[in-house]
Amino acid sequence: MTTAAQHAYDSYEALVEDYFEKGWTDGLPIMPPTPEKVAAFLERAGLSGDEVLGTVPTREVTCTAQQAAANAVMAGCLPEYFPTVVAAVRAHLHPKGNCHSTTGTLSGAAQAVIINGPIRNELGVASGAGCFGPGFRANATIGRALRLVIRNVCRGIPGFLDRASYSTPARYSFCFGENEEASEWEPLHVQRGLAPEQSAVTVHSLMKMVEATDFTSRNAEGVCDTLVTNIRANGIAGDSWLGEDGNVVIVVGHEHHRFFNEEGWSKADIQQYLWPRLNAPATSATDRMARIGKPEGILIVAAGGAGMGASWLLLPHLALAITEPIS
Amino acid sequence: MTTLIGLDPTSGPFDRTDDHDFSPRPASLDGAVVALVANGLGEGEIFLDALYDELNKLSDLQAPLKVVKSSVSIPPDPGDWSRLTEEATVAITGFGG
Amino acid sequence: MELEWAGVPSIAIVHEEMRGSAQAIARVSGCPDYEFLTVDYPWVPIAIWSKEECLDLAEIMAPKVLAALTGQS
Repeated sequence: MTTAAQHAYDSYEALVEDYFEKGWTDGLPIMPPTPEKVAAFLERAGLSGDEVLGTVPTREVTCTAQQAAANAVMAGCLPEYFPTVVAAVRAHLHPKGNCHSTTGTLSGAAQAVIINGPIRNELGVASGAGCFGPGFRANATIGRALRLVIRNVCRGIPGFLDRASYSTPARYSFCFGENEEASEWEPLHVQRGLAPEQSAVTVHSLMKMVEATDFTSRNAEGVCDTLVTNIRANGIAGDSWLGEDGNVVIVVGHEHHRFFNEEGWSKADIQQYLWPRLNAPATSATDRMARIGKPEGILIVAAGGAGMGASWLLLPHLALAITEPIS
Repeated sequence: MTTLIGLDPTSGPFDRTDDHDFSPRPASLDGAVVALVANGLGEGEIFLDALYDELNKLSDLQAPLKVVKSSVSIPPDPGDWSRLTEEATVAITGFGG
Repeated sequence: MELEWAGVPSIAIVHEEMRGSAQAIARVSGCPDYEFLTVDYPWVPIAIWSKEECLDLAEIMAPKVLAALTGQS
């Protein structure tokens, strides 16, 4: 059963052009959100169309499953992707996911959708070489679906409630999996209290992403020191509303990960090494405190391909990284 | 001719129909408690403090009621909100960064 | 605006660069006619005002704030 307004067209091209005209796309063509497709998505997730996935009180927005499904169809998702999209929307619309601020900010914060658990392999979510970029339908369309929800449902429209000075290409889509098979590391969702067999998404709003390159270190401490230097070059401000639970996400690349594997460092070992060094007082304008309240607020994720001696730092905007199980 | 149906993917029109009324304005600020609501960004508190001083030259104000939000992106805490609604005659806020 | 609805006459000071966002919030909140006091360029956006600019702007804005809060604007 649908409650959304319906529009009739003579052709696919006519529909797409009208959706462009209405401002309902991200600037790229969309797939038609027909009632049949939207119903199939809802059925796949076991949701009724009027199920509320979250709200944005400042914007007078309530997001329903039907709206999310329509946008997931438009993004090019397959029906089996939709439970993951639902979890991502729920995570982003968690009060401390802070949709209003992270999608309205001048800084143009983006949302990273990190997928864990068995569903990564079931859907073909890329977590290795090229996983931040184009070429993978699940990555591209799940991330795009969240962004279309932000635009069409949450009113994060450039020039309206999205006031980004530049914005970022990561706002078209930013979704990848954790390479859980790369080591014995405890996956992110397990660190955050879920069972290994439970699939999950973690949505992290990032002010900016910084590549921490290090081609010369040959041990775990050397890599960690490079991470510290790069994070502290940017700094992370505390926020009393977020309290002690603030996050930074570190995506550890293959060529860095191998040193942790060789020396038997767990994620907890890395967190314990980094935390006091990040929180140490500033010594200069380019060596600033990175205020993270607890070691476990440093979220370590293994991803990326071989060859490049680099890891990526996803520095937070005003939100917590929220992990949501996929039903 | 084939007809293709597409659903509206939005959360509806931007404009609400339940318009709110504005509060009646006092004729002057003499004797008023002016609330200063700072969002914590930049030097906003300095501006609001200075603005109060300037207003106090133009009117005979009572002591200000100052609230600094715990985060730029959320409303005032419930306790501060109660003080604002119960004690303030008028309020001044800043918006955005 | 919520202070207005709670019975406290209020004024929000907005930089020109955020006026569109402020008006959008007013619109979706059912108050499309809510008036903001705007600080225009060449003044820089609010978050990067220097202390000196804060003091200068306070002097400039005070008569406008008084007028807005007493219904004289």
